[in-house]
Amino acid sequence: MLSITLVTAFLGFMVALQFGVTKEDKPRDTRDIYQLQDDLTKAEKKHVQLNEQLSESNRLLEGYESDDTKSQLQTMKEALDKQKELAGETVKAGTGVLVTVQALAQGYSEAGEGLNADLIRRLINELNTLGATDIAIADERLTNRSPIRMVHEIVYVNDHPLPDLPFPIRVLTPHPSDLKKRLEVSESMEDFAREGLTMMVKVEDRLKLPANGESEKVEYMKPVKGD
Amino acid sequence: MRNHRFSLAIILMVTGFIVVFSYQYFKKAESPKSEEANELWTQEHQLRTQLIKEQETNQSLEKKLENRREQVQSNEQTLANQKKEAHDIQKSLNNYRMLNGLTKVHGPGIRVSLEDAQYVPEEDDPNNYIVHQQDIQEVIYELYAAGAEGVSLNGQRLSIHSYIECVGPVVKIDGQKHTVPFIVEAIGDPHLLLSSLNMSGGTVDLLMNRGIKVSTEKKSDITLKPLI
Repeated sequence: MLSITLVTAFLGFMVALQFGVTKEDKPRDTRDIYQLQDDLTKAEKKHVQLNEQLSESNRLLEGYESDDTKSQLQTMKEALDKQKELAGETVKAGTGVLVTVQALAQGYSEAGEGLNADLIRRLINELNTLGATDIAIADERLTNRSPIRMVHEIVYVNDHPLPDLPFPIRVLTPHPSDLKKRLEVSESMEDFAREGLTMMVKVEDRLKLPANGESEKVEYMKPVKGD
Repeated sequence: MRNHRFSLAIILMVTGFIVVFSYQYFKKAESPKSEEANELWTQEHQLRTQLIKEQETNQSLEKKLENRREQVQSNEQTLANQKKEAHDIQKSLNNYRMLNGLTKVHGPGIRVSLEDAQYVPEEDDPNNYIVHQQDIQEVIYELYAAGAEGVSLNGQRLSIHSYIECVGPVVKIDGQKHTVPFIVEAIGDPHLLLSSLNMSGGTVDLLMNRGIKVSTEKKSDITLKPLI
């Protein structure tokens, strides 16, 4: 009787152990590592940007330290030109892709009735994720505050209506062939097709974007000082 | 008694089986797995240390940059006080810096809050009742059209290169994650911004029709952080 008691006790113990072993074997959670890698990449990117901004500031300071007012003034003018370029208010040329928006095929959305503001906004959003540096839609150069919206069934960019199909979208990027490849299989491409439209994408060695004519007038914003 | 022996034999057999099975299981599962887990742990630890170091560096660089930018501006101020020509350049330079999101700015404007619908009819797809990237963009672009000078989303300044991604209920702006409520803040003429959003058949109506909870509010002072 004792041996049976012992054996069953042992058996129970083994089963419990077995259960413990099996339970432990759930799929490993590697999410933390991906998350960390993601955060690290972001932090490194920021590091690079901060360094760029720092060296820009240092360059300006050096210029201002000169004894000659004329060269100080020159430094200031250069700083202004740089800001204008950033704001999209200068003509800019470089490598990029030329995207032509056109009807998917004859008979499809030839008048461009499938075109809407949301389609264009999503395309810009996607172009930005793919590393576009500057964008012009038809002849409208985009800036930090370019409105894109529908007015009476027509898409307006920078308060100007888009022309009839086909029209070009010029995109500057340091890696045009990457952008082309990714744009061709992008969600935007599918969205366009759903509306009877398509985009022809062409890599260009030298693409010229027009300047945005908007003024830099600021009425409501003021810099926060001493903080 | 014979019956008893028989059952004992069976029990012993099962026990033997479990012992061997357990042993093999432990042997298989434990040794290589613990090594792997160890490796993962080390990797995670290294990544974490690296990240913390990187973030610390960035913080001190940010301080340094702020300091340098102040020096740059005070130099420009001195120059502007001396020369009329410099005065004009300085003014436009500072305007561009504000527009480009390189300075911390404040001013009057409005605040828009977007939230998922609270009531979802059972038979409907809940996806139709949550705030999407398009809804946020709808608000942002309408604000630009009404002359907003600077816009932020959940405290993050938006720029010409900003991109918004929708991953389920999470919205990523330039890679940074945000969840509801989505707060859009814009500097500009509060009256104009508000009335263009609230126009009948306008943005607010459109979003409400999609079942999104929208609230708008004029603000006398909004602060926007710089991009970098």
